[in-house]
Amino acid sequence: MAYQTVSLRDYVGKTLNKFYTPQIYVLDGDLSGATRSQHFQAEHPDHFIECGISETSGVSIATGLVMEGMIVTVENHTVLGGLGGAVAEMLAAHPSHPPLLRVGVQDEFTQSGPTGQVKERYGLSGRHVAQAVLHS
Amino acid sequence: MIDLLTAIYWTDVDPTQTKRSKVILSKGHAVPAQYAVLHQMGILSDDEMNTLRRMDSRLQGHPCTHRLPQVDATTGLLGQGLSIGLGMAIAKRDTGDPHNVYVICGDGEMHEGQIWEAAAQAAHFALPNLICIVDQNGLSSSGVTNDVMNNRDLQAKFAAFGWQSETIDGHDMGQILDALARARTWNKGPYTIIAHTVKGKGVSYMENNVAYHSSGIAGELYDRALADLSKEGC
Repeated sequence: MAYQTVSLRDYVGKTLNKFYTPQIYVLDGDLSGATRSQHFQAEHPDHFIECGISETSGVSIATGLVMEGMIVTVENHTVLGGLGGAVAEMLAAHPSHPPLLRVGVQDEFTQSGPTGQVKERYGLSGRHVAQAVLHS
Repeated sequence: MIDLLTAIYWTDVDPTQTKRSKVILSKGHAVPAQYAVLHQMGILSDDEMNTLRRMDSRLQGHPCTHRLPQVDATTGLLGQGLSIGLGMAIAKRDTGDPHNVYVICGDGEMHEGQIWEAAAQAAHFALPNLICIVDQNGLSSSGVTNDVMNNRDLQAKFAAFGWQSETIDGHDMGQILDALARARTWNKGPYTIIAHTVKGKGVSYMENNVAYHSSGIAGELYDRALADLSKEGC
C-alpha cells in the first residue's frame, strides 16, 4: 500500500486544530516548538496553556480542567511507565477494551543523534508508525 | 482546620449545587473535618458519619470524589491539589463561571515541589478566582514541620511568586472571615492565606501533640475530648 511520509509532529499539531471545540485545551511544557503544539497555540491561544518546565503540575492542571467539564489529552514519549502505561492499564481492565497499539520509545534512555537516525533507531519514523498501524 | 472549613463553606459554598465554588482539600488526610462540615450542612447523616473509613463507605480516609461528589477532588497524594484547583480556576474563568476555587494545603505539604510549580503558574496566569489557604499547624507526620524541612517564611515565598499573601490566626473567626473577604475581592491574581493553627485545638491532651496526627481515640480519652470541646470558647 502506498503512503505519503509526513512530519509526524506537524501532523499531530495540525490535527489538534481539526478537533478543536471550546472544551478542548492543549497544555505544553515549554516544548510547543518541538511537539508542534504551536500550530494549535497559533490558532487557539486562549486554549493553549503554557505550563513552563513544570509538567507534573501541568498534568494536575489538566485534571482540574477535566473536572470542570473540559477535554484534555496528555502525551509523553515512552511506552513503558508514565502516562502511556496508565492508559494501557485502564484499557486492559475494560471488559471490551479497544485495540491498543503502543508505538513509542521502549523503556530505555535514548541516545543523541541526528533526528532521522534517532527515529529509525527507536521505531518512531513515519515508516515505522505506518507499518505498525498497517500490521496491527 | 475546622474553623477554616466552616468559614469557607458557610460563606461561599453550596454543596447542593453543581455550579458552585469548589473546595479542594489538598491535605486530604484532614478529610474528617470536611465531612463534619458537610454533616453540619445537612449533606451527610448521623448514620453515614459512623461509616468513616469503613469498606465501601463514601467517607473514605482521604477525599474520594467519585464516591462523594460533594468533595471536589480526590486527594491524598500531597502536592497536587493546588494544580488541580488551578485547572478548575482556568475553566471557571473561561466559561464565565463567577465562583471561586479554594485549595487547602498543609504546611508540611509545602515541601512538595509541585506546589511551587503551581504557585508560579497561578501567578503567571493571574487567576483572581484561586484562593490557597495554608493550614500552618507546624507539625507533620514525623514531628515539627520545620525540623523535617524548614519552610521558612511562607507568606514571603508566595509573595515572591507573585501572589497576594497574608498571615492570620487560623482559629480567630473574625480574622478568617476578614481574610476571605479580602481574598474574594482581590482581582489582580491568586491570593494565599497563611493560617496559623494548633493541631488538636480544643482538646487539652492533643494540642500540638504529634502523636495525634493520625491516631484515633476511645474510652476515657474520647470522653475527655468531648468534655474539653464542650467548654465555653472552644
